Amino acid sequence: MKNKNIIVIIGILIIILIFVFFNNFQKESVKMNKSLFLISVKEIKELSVIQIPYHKIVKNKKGFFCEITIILKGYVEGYINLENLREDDIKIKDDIVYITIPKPEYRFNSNYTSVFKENTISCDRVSLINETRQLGEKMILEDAKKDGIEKTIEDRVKEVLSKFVKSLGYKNVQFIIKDSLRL
Amino acid sequence: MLFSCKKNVDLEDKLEQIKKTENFNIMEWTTRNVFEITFTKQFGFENRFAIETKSKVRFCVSLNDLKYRVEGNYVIFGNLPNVRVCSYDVIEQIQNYDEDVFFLSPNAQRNRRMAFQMAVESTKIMIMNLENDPNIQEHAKAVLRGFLSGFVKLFGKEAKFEE
Repeated sequence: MKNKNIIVIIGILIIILIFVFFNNFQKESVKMNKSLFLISVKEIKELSVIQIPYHKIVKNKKGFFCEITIILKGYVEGYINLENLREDDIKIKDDIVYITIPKPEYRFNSNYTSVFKENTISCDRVSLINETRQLGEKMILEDAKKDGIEKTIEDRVKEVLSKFVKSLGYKNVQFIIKDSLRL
Repeated sequence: MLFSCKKNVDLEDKLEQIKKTENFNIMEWTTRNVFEITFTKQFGFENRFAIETKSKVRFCVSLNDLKYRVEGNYVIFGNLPNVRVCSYDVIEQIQNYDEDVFFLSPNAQRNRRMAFQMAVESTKIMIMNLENDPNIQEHAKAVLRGFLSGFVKLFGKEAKFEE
């Protein structure tokens, strides 16, 4: 009877030890070390976080009998380029990860162009259309800037990267945007 | 112990208070659209108009259905409510307007007025459809998560979100 009790106690102790061991093992395996973490972040070459539709009427008058109005439609895509992230851009202190990220970027992807009105007797039609398209793309990017797209992209990048870092077992993430020293 | 209980009560009191908010202002969004409107032929010519509208839309959320529970150091929020349009302002940009109108057209002025009105009405429909845009919902929820995280932090807690 006494032997049986000892065997039961030893059995319980072994189960507790196994549980503690696996629990610690799991915790360790969830967190990545810094270089592994950097590799996995750098593997995301370009992180696209938002696409906002933009439309524009673009007028271009070069002279007498050389003018055109086109309608340009598409979307502005906000993204961040993580390819050039260096090792010292990521710092890990206790459970907090500090990441210095590059300034978010954005570009216009057009999916529709139509000529609304034209008078191209005295100039090359195709080159005028191309020039007007480029002018329109520039105008759309300026519109997007005025509408506060940079802040929107920055917020989305922080949100996405925070989720990613926290899924690796870290408690908190702090961001520093390059060129702005803003936390 | 007494202090931490008091803090919890304060936090839950405050959360219950913000839950009473019907229209919580989440963000302002700018949207731009172009409309091409063509009228039927007159003397063999069409009157065509291209109008660009710019709109400032304010998105709100009702916090009445906000679900949360306090577990130790964490406040865990359930699925966040969807945002909706609570006000908007449609701005016609005359400088981004063009027309292709037959110069003898007797209806030009009437067509022009109607084109502008149609552009504004179409913009309003597009604004209401923004509520179904996943990009906007996602961005608005990120803003709301940021607000709630900051709010519970004031009480020394950390926010978690169930999705």
